[in-house]
Amino acid sequence: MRRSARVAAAGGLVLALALTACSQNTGDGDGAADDTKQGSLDIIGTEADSTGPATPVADAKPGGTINYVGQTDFVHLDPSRTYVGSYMMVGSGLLWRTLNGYRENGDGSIKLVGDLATNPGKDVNGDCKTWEYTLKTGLKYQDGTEITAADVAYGVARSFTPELGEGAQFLQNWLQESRDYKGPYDGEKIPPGVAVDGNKITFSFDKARCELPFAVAMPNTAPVPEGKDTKADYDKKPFSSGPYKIESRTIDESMTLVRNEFWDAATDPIRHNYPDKFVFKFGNEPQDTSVRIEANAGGDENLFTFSQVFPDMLSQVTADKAKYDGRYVEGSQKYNGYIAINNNRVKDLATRQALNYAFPRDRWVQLQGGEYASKASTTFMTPSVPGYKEFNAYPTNLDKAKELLGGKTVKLRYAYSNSSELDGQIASMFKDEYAKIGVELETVPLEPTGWYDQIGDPTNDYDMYWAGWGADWPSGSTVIPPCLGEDGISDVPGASTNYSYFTQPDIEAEIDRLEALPISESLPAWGTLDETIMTKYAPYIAADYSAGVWMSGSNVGGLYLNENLSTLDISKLFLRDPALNAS
Amino acid sequence: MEPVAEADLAVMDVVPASEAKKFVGRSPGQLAWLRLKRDRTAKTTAITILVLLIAAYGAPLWSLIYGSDAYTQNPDLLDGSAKPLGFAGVDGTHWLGVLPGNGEDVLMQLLYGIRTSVSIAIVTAIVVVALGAIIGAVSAFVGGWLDAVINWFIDVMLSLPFLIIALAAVPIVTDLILGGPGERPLAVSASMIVIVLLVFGWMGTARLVRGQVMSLREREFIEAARAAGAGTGHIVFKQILPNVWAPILVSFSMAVPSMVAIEAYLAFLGVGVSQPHPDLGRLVAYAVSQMRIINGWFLLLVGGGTIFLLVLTFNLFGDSVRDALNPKSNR
Repeated sequence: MRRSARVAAAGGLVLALALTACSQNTGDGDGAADDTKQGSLDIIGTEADSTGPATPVADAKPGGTINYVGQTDFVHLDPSRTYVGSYMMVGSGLLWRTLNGYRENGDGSIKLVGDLATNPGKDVNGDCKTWEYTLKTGLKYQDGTEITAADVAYGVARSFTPELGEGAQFLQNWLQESRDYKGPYDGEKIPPGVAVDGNKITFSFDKARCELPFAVAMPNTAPVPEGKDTKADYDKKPFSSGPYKIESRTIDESMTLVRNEFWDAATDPIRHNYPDKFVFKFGNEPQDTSVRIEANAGGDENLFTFSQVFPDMLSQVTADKAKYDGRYVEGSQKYNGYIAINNNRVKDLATRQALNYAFPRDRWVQLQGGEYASKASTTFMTPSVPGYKEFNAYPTNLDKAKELLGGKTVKLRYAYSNSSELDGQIASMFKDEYAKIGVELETVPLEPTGWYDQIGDPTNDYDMYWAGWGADWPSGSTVIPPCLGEDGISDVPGASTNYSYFTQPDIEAEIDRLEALPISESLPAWGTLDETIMTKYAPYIAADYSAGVWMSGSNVGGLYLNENLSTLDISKLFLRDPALNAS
Repeated sequence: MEPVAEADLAVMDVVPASEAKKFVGRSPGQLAWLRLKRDRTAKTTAITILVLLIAAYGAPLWSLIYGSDAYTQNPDLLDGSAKPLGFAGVDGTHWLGVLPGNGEDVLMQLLYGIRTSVSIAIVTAIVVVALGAIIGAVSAFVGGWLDAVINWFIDVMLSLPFLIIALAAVPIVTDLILGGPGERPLAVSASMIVIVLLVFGWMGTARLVRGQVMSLREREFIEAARAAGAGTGHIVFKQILPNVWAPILVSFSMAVPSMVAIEAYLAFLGVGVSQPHPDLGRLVAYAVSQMRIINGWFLLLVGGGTIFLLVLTFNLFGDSVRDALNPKSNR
């Protein structure tokens, strides 16, 4: 009797498990609304925009503890060394303020405004070579001491140090092309081209640098008092100029942030400080995190994460959005995905154009996880970058492709990072699809570690491989020159960012011309250049730009996809019920 | 007294004494074969194996009849995120549905996968057992320092972590042998797996055979052969090994299912037969990626179930072979 009962129970369990997943796949979770926001050309804010406080988040209230779960710790919180979206979000959203910043009001708009500065910058002589910034009053660090222009200069100076050089290098390269200055530890405290006078800081350049206001919105203009500079240890505990400070931290395990009582909301046009505390815990697998947040069990309502909803669960979540109302956000990101064609090997324009005409874009999107994970694209710049121009130089046409190849069979090597079954399936898909026009693709699996080192080598012997890029700031100048210009080609293996190894004299001349123009003229011109490059030379195949779906626990409100960093905007989060799960 | 009827006398005359006492001599092999034939489990598993082999090796023929093959992609049967529509894509044309990603037919992938698995398993088992037997026999027979060295070597090899080394070594060695990254034809991938399994598989048989040979070494017939002037090679290959064929055969029949399982593990972890060639371990990997919907469970049943069936059938058959060869080992 006992035996049969156990068998029946086991059978019942299997049946129940099967039934929970029993609904047939009707493909309902497919279509995503196309609400991709186009970057506005009206990106530079005014002095009024630069004034605090930040636009309040609807229904937000102060108090409570927010719990973060994620896989890895934030390796670099030193503003000189931060270059990853999530690290920059935690840093610039909670821990430090920079000379300029991006004011996002929560309605899709984004403006470059003065953060520590009173306005986005004064072009003193109208020639973009000298820029002056005046600091606001009442700016204080976590210990109540005042933030000075000298501290900003020191922050910029230490970002010249080779050991702290993992962050963006735009400002440093513009200030001194030779890069002889190696930072304040064995040189001047003020970097070349920078001058401090009271609460004013001035940057001087030998060439017109009309995009300087964007460059000083990067983390390395965060103020660092010389007395608090712990050099290599600053990564672990930066001295806060933002709304929160680090109370405790165990690397790779946890971090707790509490309010910086000296941060004054009236001076800050960007940030909020709704929660009392942020508690970060690391070491959770992305899939487990997704499952846990979706389940929203008791005690988990205050959870949030930077990871997107795991691809496995995507169709289940998107098929039933009403269930996750208030704790769900979807949107496109600024990162593009493209198949770089190695122009050192595939020199024939007709071949490259044929590859574009025959690119199976629908199947690419399908394999990436559908419209919630990937948006088909035919351009290099992405819609969120102001100046973006939509064009499709090679609408899918297999006959045209065959005609361009002249009936010959072309043999090409497609390299891919063998990190999962999916990568092999994508390779298999390309092989199948390109065979239709007579291209014999040899699919080459490479070790995932050191992927960028391998494709960043100009002497690599592959013809096609995936690459991606995200604009450093809202301008085509941080997209086209690094990826399609000669500045992006380096002899040092792994240092190249122009993975297509494409460079042409007429395009280089145009890049130089655009880099000297004022922003109002240059922004749309990059979009036009994007189209010219593709139409004339087809040096790559445009695939998609990324999108995602993010979820949080039910007690967390204010979910918003930050336009600048394409991550969840941590400074807009609040607790609906501050007393729930408070610690 | 009545006389005995003629008919009765005739009956008593029919069976001559010599015939009644006649025995048919049978060798141990023939006896084993008789026992095997009588064993019901052996019959069932043998028939199952035969059916599986016909299904697997006849796959090119079946794909002609069935209408699909293992490599044709069907993206139109998948939804927007490359998961099969409907109930795992099962319909009249695709009896077991289609794979997620590119939509290959599952039934054909299964049959070709069985073919790959069984081929690799049998080839590996033969080579492994042969190599192990020779090493074990030579080691036991020659004795002395050679035996000590080989013994030590076996111990070292047994202590190496197989899975970790396989995961690391397969891609590196493949690239080394083929001179750089590139596409791997099925034959190359399969050979790499055979080599890896070979390197780690011979020790069991070697030890087994070594034990057997050590017990045979001191027998009179070996002494006789030595006295007659036979060399070591002749003694090992013509006198000893033929007498240990029973454990070798059992070893072989146990190695086959073991190789099937290990090959499936390696493929599941990503170092088996490469894309897009069909493989049972990879079928299970696809299943695992879809466990949130019914597709995953179905594919798991199909793929995992087939691996289970193969391993179980070969194991039971191996058991029967062992019992047939040595009835005293019955429980």
